[in-house]
Amino acid sequence: MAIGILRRWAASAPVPVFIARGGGAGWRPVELAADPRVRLVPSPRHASVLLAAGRFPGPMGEALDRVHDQLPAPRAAVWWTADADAGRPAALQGASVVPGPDPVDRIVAAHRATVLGDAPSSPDVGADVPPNEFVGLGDNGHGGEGMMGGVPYGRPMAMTADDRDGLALDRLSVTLGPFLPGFTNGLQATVALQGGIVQELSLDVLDLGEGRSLDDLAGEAPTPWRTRLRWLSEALRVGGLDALAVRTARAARQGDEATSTVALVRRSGLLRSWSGIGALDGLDAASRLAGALDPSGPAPGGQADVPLDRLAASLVGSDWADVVVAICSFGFVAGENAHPRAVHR
Amino acid sequence: MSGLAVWAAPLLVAVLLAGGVYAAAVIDLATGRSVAGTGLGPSALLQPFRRAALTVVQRPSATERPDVVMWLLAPALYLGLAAAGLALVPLSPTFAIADVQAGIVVWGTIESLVIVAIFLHGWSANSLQPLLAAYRFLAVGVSYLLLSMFVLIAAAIPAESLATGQIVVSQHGLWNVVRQPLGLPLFLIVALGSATWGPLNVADGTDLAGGTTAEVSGMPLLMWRAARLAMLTSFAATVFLGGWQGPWLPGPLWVAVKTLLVLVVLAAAGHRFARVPTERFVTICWVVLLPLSFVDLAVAGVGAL
Amino acid sequence: MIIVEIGGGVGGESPGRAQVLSLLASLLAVFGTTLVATFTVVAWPRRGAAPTWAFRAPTLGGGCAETHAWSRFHARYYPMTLVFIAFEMEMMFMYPWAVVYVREGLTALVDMGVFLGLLSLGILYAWREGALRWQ
Repeated sequence: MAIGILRRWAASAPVPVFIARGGGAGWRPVELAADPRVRLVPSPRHASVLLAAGRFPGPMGEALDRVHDQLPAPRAAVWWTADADAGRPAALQGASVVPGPDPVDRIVAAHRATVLGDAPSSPDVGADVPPNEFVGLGDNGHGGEGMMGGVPYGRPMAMTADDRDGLALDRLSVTLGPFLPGFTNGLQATVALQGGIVQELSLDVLDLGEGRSLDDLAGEAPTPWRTRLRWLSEALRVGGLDALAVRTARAARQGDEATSTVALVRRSGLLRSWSGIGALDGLDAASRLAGALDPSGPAPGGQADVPLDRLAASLVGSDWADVVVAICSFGFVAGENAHPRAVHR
Repeated sequence: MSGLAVWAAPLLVAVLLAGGVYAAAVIDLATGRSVAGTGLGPSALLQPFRRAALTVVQRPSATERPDVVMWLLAPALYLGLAAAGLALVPLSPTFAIADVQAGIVVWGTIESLVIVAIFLHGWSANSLQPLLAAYRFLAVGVSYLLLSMFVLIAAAIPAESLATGQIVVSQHGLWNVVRQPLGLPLFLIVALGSATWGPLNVADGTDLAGGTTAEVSGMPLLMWRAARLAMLTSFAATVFLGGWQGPWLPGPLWVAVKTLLVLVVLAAAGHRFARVPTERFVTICWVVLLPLSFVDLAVAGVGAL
Repeated sequence: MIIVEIGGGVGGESPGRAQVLSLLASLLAVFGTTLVATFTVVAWPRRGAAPTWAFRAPTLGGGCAETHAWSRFHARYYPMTLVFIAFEMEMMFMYPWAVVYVREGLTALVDMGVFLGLLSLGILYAWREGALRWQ
């Protein structure tokens, strides 16, 4: 066969999809986990198809470009949006646009086309240049700033800073972007880490633009319980329970009570794992999760706005993984709206 | 104690390991589907091959300045250790692939080097999220290592030998799972940790975008995933449920049945229990589980007097 | 080289030197072959263009890094690892102890009990001093 058996099998595998949630997407794309033809993956490097859901104006588009370039070939991009006429980010120039409420068919088709060679793999957006040109000084091209300094292989090495234990060890400054598991739409964290513990944290929401939401595109107004189930599916994925996340996504899609699913979540120890993390206003991540699991209970906090500044201040000194959990637990509060917007206070 | 010829041992282990990895993959898939409620179908038998094919077709990853040798060595080391573990398993009353005199010591070595392999995998990529995953796994790994040492020593006491074959023989009248009841759950925790599976999946966790695998794709990713499943299988085959002993069926078949049973338990634990945060597990391990392993050792010691 | 006579245990005979070496050789052959084979498979060069700088950027969910990730990382659990080393040294003594335990009887139990008890005091101290927490 011209196309080897490897490629034919690869084309028929469940498509690993990396979902980038933009403006107007809410938590709706998480329901895709219910479809057995796709598999949601946490890292773009595992994915074959990039599903960009919603709007990606400005900085969101730049972040999307970076993520797009990190997918390994053969890759394809699919754009699921209600506002295809609005600005199309560079990463999605060749992407097929999903016309209706369900993108899975388009995803599977794009995957098969690129793997079998019918369509070219989506080309890079970013230029093939290092982030900083390594220009050395002197005959040997050394950094020129003593022991430290210079930009080997495109980036400088981390410099020391005083640590809370009296040591002075390296501090890593990094921007962790909107497309991480558990992050709400557009939430970006600028963080300085020493040894995995957060020393400085700033949470921002990137511009999400204005327009219709994906739920409008589907012509549905999802119930609060359905939105909670969608968020719960993502939270379960963050907590390491992928199978339960699929189960929750199916329950969200079918719109049922999911009592057995909630019981399984309670028995999984997730509440105990999340206790003591991200405490703010008397509620920690576990209590927010517990509030979300109760279909008849009121939403904890209930406010549409998440106090990002106070949250960031309270998370200084935590492990980065705990920061992810804390942010994820707040996502439920913000997710009640179709356009989760968090406001600095 | 017995062993296979030097040239034949790698071949047999390769065959057993391939079968074990496939069985573990299918069991994991089936358990996941049953928990997810999507229904078990015959496609579960072929899906590991399809997913493997897709992973191979994707181009291997690269980062800006990784430690290339260590990055590629990590899955090789991991798989090699799983193979060595499988070689120690007694398959029948007269046969094990390489039943060395100090089998328990080799197991301790394997577990320690697994921690090295997983750390290397995360560190070599020179990227933040794998690095964080590697360091937090180190904390978890160092903690559960002691559990395994005590539990295996407790199993070795009535056998008066460190060889796994002798340990199986010593259970002739009474299985260890009955006379040292704490040993099995503790050893299963060690198995989960060594394969970074389920509640102890701190090395490849989704909260760090895939952890040590966040920057890995292509054949290295396939080999890494295969190595994790292989480690799970090796632990499942070793857990001292009396080894090859059992009525009616021939020895090796009993080993296979017990291995599959333990794989089902481990896969179910993986899908039903949430990941334990690093600090919490370290505290629980040192304060609760380690004293329990002391109790297990005391039970073994008193019972063998 | 002195071979410690680890007795054959329950019902077995003491193995000969050649047999011991051949078992070790088998084990090393298994480990070495699997390692080399896997490394070869993983490191096999693929056809195709070299990875671009855009592809090689670190995976941060769309964010960017200012520096390389390699750094003098503050491993905050290092006090716990010191306690671990103490236990590892004890483990080295326990391996031969386990083999001769039945022969030695109660004295062996008491000896190791004292040893473990003293080390447990170490764990208790580490726990109270917060070596198991680092946030």
